[in-house]
Amino acid sequence: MNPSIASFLQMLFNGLSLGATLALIAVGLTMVFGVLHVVNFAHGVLFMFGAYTTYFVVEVLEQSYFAALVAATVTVAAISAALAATVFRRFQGLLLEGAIAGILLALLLENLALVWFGASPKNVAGPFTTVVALGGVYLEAQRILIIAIAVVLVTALHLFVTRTRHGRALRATQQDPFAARLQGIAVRRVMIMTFAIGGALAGAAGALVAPQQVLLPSMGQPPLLLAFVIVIVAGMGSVKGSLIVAVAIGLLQSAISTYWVPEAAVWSSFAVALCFLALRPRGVFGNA
Amino acid sequence: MKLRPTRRATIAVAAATTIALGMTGCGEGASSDGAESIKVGLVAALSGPAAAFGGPQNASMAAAVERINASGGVKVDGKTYKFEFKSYDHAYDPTKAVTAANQAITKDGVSFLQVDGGSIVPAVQPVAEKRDVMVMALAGGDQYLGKDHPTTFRLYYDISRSFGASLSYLKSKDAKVQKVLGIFTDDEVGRIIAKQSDGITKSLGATPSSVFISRDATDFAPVLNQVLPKSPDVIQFGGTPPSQYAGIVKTARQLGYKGDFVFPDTVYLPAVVEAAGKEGVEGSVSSPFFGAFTSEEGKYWTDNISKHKGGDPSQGWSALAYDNLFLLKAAIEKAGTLDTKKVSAAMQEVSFDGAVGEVRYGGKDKYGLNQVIEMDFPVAEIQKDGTLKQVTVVPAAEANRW
Repeated sequence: MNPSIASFLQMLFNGLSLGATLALIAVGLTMVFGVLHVVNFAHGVLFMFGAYTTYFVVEVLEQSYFAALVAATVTVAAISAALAATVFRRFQGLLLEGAIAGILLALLLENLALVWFGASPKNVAGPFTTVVALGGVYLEAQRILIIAIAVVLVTALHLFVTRTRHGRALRATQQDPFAARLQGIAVRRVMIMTFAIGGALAGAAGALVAPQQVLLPSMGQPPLLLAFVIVIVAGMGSVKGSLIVAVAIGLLQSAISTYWVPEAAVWSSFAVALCFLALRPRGVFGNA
Repeated sequence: MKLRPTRRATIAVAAATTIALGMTGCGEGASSDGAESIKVGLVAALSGPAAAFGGPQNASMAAAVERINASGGVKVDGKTYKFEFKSYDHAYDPTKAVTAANQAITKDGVSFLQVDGGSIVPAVQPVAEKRDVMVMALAGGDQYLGKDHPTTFRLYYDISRSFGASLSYLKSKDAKVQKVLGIFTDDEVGRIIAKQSDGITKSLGATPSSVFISRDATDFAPVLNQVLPKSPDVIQFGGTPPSQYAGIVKTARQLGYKGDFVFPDTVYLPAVVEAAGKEGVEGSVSSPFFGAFTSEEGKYWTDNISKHKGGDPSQGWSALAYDNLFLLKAAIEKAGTLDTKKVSAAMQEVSFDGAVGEVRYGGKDKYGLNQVIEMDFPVAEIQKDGTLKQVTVVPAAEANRW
């Protein structure tokens, strides 16, 4: 294969897998904002808990990776719901207070993780070690799994939100909590459910990338920052927008690493977010 | 959007401030027993991504303070002083480091401050110099050294020279080793180490190439997909944090890289071995290797370091922080005063038979002052079982010629 075509395809593949991971994190973040109007700075910690749950199930309990993936999704959904019920429900609509509570929680949980898990990085053995080389394009099986599972989860979320009673309740609450309450929707329950869904997606993302990285208590910070970039560019609260922008940011990062210099990948995304904040604060898909 | 400060916001801010302050000053102190004290501080990453560096330093300094105080303290002009030690967390964030240094210097009266991190030291240095506080940097880079900074010392070894020691061993083992890829952090320290390493690589007859990554990067496949097709024989990591190079090693092996790695330290070696597999790191090297210490201080350090919070006998590099306090003690006694400028002048002349061997400050030819710890570079190779074995020692004099 022509080297420049191989390089382009490699860039696409890496960008899609990064975009898939970011989409899972950003969708949860933007859903929580849409329903509760709270910027959840503790969302990155949920991603980290997903990765460490995977480590615990695979390396300590010696169970299969796929069992760990399910366990991470369920466990982090439960943690997120508990945080919603105990902390975040008090800050509905209070941007500043909710953000401070999120920062505090993130600090607290990250340092607890440091005490529990230690500062030394942990490693998770993934289900696949295969790397398929197709004419100069390296396709890691784990990245294919990330893309596939992200597509499945996002499709399932779409069906849930559009085809089920709970999904309609979630959308109604997002549009107008007061009117939703008048219609008999248990808004508090919907809010906790939204946090659980967001946590489940973040936990799944943590489990999916765990075999690709080494695990540290601070590992949730970089993807959280990129998730904020996505939510800003997409428009706060826009799930569809977050999905599209997550893939775009993944491809942007990969393209910059491939065709320019790797060190510019992260800050260029922040530059994009800054431009949007200055010129179009409601984002591409936002209505606010 | 509501941005009015409500009662909840006030309470939340108060709670955040309390927690932040609580997390900043969390030192292990050597309590004073009535004797006058000399306050030494440590500003280091005790939390966050570089926390594995802070804990061992904290323990080593606490162990040195305990040992020095138990053996009679510091004698200055007929008076006996005890060291009093306190540590502060910067979580590898320069802003937090400046806050912590200000607290140490202005509130707690620290006059001798050890600072951890190549990108942290330049942030803290102006604060310290303004108040004549001595800075002892356990960090990479050298932009903070020189005649303009006579009260700053670097007790960490030169990372580019440690790489040179490792590369010279790899070349002696296999003369075909030619292409050396350096992966560095995209900051001033990374750029300096890259420049120095490139020069050393050329002087050893090999061909260097460099790539820079953000300190926030966690996905290394895109960059490795670009550089691995160039078939490097060796990948070295300069001052890249262990948490990142452990991930790079793992991804590089997944992508089929067959060459050796040169590690600048052994902080996360067990995690690196686990990530890449024993066969994945067999033959890779690291320098300086802090193996079993045989000196009197080395044995004491090994036997006692675990008693202190964050202490780990396998983190031999942190014994440099232990030895450095003995150098400071010797310098204060030689100067006969606590004046940091006079102590700094004396620090350039003293030596100590410490845990890692004989240590002293050198580097006058390069920096105009003896400001950089001088030590030999033992090189260790990773064995089949994942352990390190010392294979050669590159003397300091030879390393200084690169």
